[in-house]
Amino acid sequence: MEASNHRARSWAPLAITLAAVGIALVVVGVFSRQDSSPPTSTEEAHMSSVVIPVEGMSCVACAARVKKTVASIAGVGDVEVSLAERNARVRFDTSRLAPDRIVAAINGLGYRAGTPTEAK
Amino acid sequence: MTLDEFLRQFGSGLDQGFSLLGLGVVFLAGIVASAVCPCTLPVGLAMAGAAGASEAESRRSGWKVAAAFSAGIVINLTLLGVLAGRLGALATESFGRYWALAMAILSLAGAVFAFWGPRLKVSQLAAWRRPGLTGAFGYGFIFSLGTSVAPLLLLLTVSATQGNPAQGLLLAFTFGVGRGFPFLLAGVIGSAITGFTRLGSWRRSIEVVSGCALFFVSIYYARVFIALA
Repeated sequence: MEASNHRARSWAPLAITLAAVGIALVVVGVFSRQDSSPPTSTEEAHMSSVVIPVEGMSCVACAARVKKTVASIAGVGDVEVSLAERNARVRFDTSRLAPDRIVAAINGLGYRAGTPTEAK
Repeated sequence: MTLDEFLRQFGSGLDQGFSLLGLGVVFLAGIVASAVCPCTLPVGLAMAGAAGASEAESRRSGWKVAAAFSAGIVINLTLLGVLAGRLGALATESFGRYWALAMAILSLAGAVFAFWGPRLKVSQLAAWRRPGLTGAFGYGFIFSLGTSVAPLLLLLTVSATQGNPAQGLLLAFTFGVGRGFPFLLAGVIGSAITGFTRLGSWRRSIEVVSGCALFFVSIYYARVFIALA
């Protein structure tokens, strides 16, 4: 009984630390999602979606790098990166941004971005 | 060189059945997948540190930790090879987000244990030694879920094995051996270096380096999780 109590006490700091970090990460994740404000109706009229093939992504961290870089370009609305299809689906404001700039940004990371095609 | 380029250059005969040369190419593809994946360096350093710390604590146990981690990768990839048709579900952004969160928490658990474990009493350490190997296996198993699915999908597509479970299993196993090999090597080198040093004077330093490396890996995956949120 005493041994099991002692063992439970020895696990407690680890469990508390992990729980705290898990909660903190989930909270940060939720708030970072709410940061992007929805586009106005004028902006919405200029929005277009393209699919850009991306070669060389090998893991989730690569997908995260591509997503973070493309999302930081002014004029980009949404970005979705698919490891399975090896592409990035980008929704952007055509009055502020040309797809070539997105391609250049992906190439700048060391991946090979193909020719953008309009998303169906 | 990307894995796509490697397979284009050397994988032309993979769709024509089993051959030793083909399996050699797949083994090399596993090593290339490790070399080009940004997760390999931080996790490899952490593995070398963890193996070194384990060696410092108990002679000849460092390589076992590295072997358990690599075995986790190999077994996971072999299973994924059988489930080839469902790999796409594991390569989605939403899966990747929660995988990164799991890796961040697991790595932090490893870091906390590396700092705090040596302060436990001998009887407690004895009880934890077995989970150390199981933990390394589980860490390798989960690690390969997020880092190896995309290359494996590409490999199975190039070799046209998605309709042939037996060939898919063999290719995935061989690919897994190549994918896990650099980590095994890192762990063996880490424990060999520890073995050559005087354990008493280096032990605490190795434990601190190991804990810091795992803490760095935890931050790395937390950043991946936030980027995908």
